[in-house]
Amino acid sequence: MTGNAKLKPSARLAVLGLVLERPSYGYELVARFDRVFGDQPWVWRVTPQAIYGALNDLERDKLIEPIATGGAHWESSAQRRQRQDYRVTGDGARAMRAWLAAPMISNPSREELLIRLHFGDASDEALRELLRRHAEACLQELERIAATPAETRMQRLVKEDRRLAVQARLSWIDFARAELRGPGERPVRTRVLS
Amino acid sequence: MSVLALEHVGKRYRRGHRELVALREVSLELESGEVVCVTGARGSGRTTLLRIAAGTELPDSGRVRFAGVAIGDLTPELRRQVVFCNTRFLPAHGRDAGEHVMTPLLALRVPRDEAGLLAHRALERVGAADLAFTRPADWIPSEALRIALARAIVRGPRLLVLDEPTNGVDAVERDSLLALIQRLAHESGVATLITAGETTSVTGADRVLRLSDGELLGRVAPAAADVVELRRPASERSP
Repeated sequence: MTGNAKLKPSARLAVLGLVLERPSYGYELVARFDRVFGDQPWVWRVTPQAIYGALNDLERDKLIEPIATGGAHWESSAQRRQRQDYRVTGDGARAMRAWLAAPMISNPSREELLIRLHFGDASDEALRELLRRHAEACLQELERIAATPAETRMQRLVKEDRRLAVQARLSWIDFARAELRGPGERPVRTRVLS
Repeated sequence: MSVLALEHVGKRYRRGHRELVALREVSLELESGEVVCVTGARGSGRTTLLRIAAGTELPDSGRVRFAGVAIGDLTPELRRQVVFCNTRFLPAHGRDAGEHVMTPLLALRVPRDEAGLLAHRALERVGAADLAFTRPADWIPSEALRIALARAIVRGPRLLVLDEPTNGVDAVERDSLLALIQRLAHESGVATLITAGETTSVTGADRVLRLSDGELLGRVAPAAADVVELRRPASERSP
C-alpha cells in the first residue's frame, strides 16, 4: 500500500486520524492533539509547527483537502491559513484504514502504538489482539537480543540497554492487558496465598 | 515428538468465595535440546506453569504430556528424566560440592565410586571441577548455580526446569552462565525450560515467551526448521 509510505512519520498519522474523527483546522488540531496524546508532557509532545507541517504534507499528498467555511474571509493569508478547515479525502480514509488493519512492524514506536490504541477498532477484543501482537513483536526482538553475542564492553552495554527497553514495553503491555480485563478475574500470585 | 507438550492448560485457585485464574488455555511445546525462557511479572502464573511443567501440580483443564505420556501416568523411570533444578537450595553443612552432586545417584543405588566419577564429570561440564571439595558457605551465587546445574544434569535428564536461575547472580557473570545452560542443552539434547521474573534470563534462549494475565504469548511451539536444526548434532549446528 503506497499510502503507508506517505503516512510516516507518526505525527502525520495522528493528524490524519484526528481530521478523520471530524473536520478541523490547525489551531484546533494542536489543542486536540494535546488532549488525546500529549496533555501529560511525558507522553508525546509535538510542536504546533509539526502539526501545521503535517497538515501541509497531508494536503500535498491529497489525503486531506481544504473545505470552504463561513468564517474563512480573513484579511491576511497567515490568518486564512489558521482558520482553514480540512476534511479527509477518500484516499486519506482508505490509507488510515489500511494502516490500522496492517500488521504492526516488528518494533513499533510508542507513538505508533498510541495511534493504534486511540484510532483503532475500539472493542476490547480488538485491543487485546493489538496488545498481543505488540507483545509478540517484543518477544521476537528479545530473541534477537538473546542471540546477539556481546564480546566487548560496548556490545554488552548496548545489549543490556536494548533488553531493558523491551522489558519496559512488556511490563506496560501486562498493565494494559490487566486494565482491559478489569478488576474481575485477575490472575494471582501463587506463593502469596496461604 | 516433543519432550514436553502442554495443551490448553487451565488452572484456577479457589480462595473463599473467589475464583482466581492462574493460567488460561496455555499451550507450550518443548523440543529436545532447546532452551525456552518464559518471562512474566509476579502473579502472571509463572510458578504455576513451572509446577505443571515439572509435574508437581496437575492442571484443572487441558493436557500435559512428557515424551508422549500423560504426566499423571509417568513410570518412575520417566519421572526421573524430569529434573527441577532448585538453584536456591543449599545442601546441609558438612557436605562438599562433590557429595552434593552425587546425592541423586546414591539415591538410585549407584555405587559410590561410580557416582563420584559421574559427579566429577558433571562438575567439569559446568566449569566447576575446582569447586569439588569446597563447601556451601564458600560459594558465591554463580558458583552455587554451577553446582546446582551439575547436580541437575548428573542423571542425564530429558527435561530440565529452572526457576529464575540467575537471581542473585552478578550481572556481569549472568550471560556466561546462561550461555552455559544453552550449551548443556544443545550438547546433551536436554529440553530446558527457564522462568524469570524479568527478561534477565533471555540470553541463550532459543525462544522467549511471556506470561501475561495468565496467557502465554510468543512462539509457543518450535518452528519446523528449528526442529530440524535441533536434531542435528550440537557440533554441526550453526551458532
